[in-house]
Amino acid sequence: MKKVMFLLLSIMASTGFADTKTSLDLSHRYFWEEPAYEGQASEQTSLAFQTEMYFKSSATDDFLVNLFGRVDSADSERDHIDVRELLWRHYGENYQLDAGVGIVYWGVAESQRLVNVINQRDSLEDVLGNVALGQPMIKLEIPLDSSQWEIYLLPYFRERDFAGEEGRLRTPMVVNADHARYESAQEEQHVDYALRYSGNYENIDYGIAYFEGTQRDPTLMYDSMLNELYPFYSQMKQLGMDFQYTGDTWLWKLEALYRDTSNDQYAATVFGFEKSFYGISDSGADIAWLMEYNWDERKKRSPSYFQNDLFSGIRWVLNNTDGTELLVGILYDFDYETHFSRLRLNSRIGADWAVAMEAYLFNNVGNDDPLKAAENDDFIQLSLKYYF
Amino acid sequence: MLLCRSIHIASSISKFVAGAVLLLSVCAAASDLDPQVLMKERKQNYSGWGSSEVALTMTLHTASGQLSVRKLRTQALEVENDGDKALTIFDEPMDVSGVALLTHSHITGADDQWLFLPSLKRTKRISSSNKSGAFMGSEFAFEDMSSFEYEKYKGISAREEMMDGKSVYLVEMEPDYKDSGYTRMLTWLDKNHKQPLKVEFYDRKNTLLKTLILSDYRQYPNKAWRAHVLKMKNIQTNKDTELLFSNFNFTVSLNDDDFNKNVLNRIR
Repeated sequence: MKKVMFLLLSIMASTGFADTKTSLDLSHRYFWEEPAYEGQASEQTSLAFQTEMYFKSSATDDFLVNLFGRVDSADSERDHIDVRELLWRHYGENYQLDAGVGIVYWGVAESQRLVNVINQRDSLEDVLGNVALGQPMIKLEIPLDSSQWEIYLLPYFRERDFAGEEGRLRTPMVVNADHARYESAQEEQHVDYALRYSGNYENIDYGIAYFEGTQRDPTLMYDSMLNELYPFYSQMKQLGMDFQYTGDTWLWKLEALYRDTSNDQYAATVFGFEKSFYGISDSGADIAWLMEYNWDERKKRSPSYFQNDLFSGIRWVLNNTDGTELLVGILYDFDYETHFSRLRLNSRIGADWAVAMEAYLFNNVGNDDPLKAAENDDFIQLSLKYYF
Repeated sequence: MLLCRSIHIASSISKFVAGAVLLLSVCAAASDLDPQVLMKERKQNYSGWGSSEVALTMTLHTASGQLSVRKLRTQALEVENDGDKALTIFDEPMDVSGVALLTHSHITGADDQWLFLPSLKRTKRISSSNKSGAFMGSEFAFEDMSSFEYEKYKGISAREEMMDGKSVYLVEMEPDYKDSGYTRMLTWLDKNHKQPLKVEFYDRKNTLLKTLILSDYRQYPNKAWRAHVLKMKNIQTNKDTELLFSNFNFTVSLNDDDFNKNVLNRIR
């Protein structure tokens, strides 16, 4: 893999046609509550890079490389690099063929990524699953007039990473990702596949997808011999759909799925709206109000944070020169009465710099809530990003 | 109008049929100063390009003299009997590099818009009703950035006027679509190509909000006229934005497939 990448990079560098974008992100997290488990750090500084290279090899082919890495002062498990994308894309007459490593996004909701199943989540970057690990794939896309078919062949499975002993936002017992077990005898070599049909008709955008293969979210199991938790990856079949109606100032959204695994068959959904208020001040700021209800048929049996939760949020866009934005969201759990709040304020400084302030707050966490382990992990993070 | 009236008097003196014919033809010529006709000609002299590609540089000046630059590229497709389709790719500032906006504009009804967020690889359908909002924090509103469709305006009046020692047409028009930030616009059109040389925008309280000066007009081989320098000045805040167009390319031959929402995750 490393050799292939090196070869590819040197080809791109030598041709001089590569178009490169890189960012460096320095951030510091401060956890102000006593750690729940021994060894956990309260201050965490990290440096991340992301570099994207694009190379057009012919009129019908191009290459895309997107690498990510982070070094962390407190948690060595959070030191990681990932090939987010390493993709050869071929543009045929009536189709597009992608081969390599890629990222795919399905869905319309803001509070969670329910139907989005192609990629493993980079849980070291974001516990809520907003960041994806690169997924090896062959993808065939066939566009029609205002809809398209996508066929995916996923030959290799990416395991989820977990925070280490020193890290916050972890389970009481550290998960040993190296001891992952699988339902399928082929383990990570199991070839998954997916099929999706999506499109738009007037004010409606829709998608319906079927996936069969290794479930991306593991079940955490206890090994009494080694006294550790290990991830167990079962096989699953999933039928999912997403739908959005776009009105003048209202967006109505719905995602739903039915999932069939060897020990569970269940439905889950998230639906809600996004209402915009434009030009609310003389300076032309916009506000969007978001509300989404999340439901999982398994209710309290569900390992998801979103089994019976109402999300409510505000996005405040200043529309100023520096593109300042504020996001505040609260997830309220009806079963456990937990309040989980997130806040993010970000802004540009000049053309090449950006700053962000982010905070996670876990309040009134119910004893049986899967979020219980993070109860003491309220944090504030400051980050400075430089692009070149 | 004045010209028409004087001929009318002249013809009432003469009893010849030829005089009546003259009256009709001159009045027809004068009724070219129908604002609706001028607006239609403005659109015609902008049209017939099929598809195009252009680079844009936007420079924002704050009242205190600070500068901020945005760079973007736009691909566009002319659609018969409906609004154009456009794909805009943002290059600068760097934090929005790779963001793309796809617009299918419509003459009647709301435009369809999708925003591509490269960090998530997510394509999000957005509402197009934020017409009066600032485009990337600039003095250009979203409605100023969309292509001119004469069916979306009501022509109020038109007359000849002198501007910088040159005779031009002054056309007053009102937006005839929802959510506009303007009550009316005054447009000064070049007599030859009917493209605007200057536009005054009046806000919802009918006070002068912004002035736009368009210059460096060039005609492309397909007959379409394009301004290359646009200067928008906000009279109320004293901020201004300069928009430069460069590298117009009308030979790209793009088609409908290049403006499907699925192209968003592969644009560069």
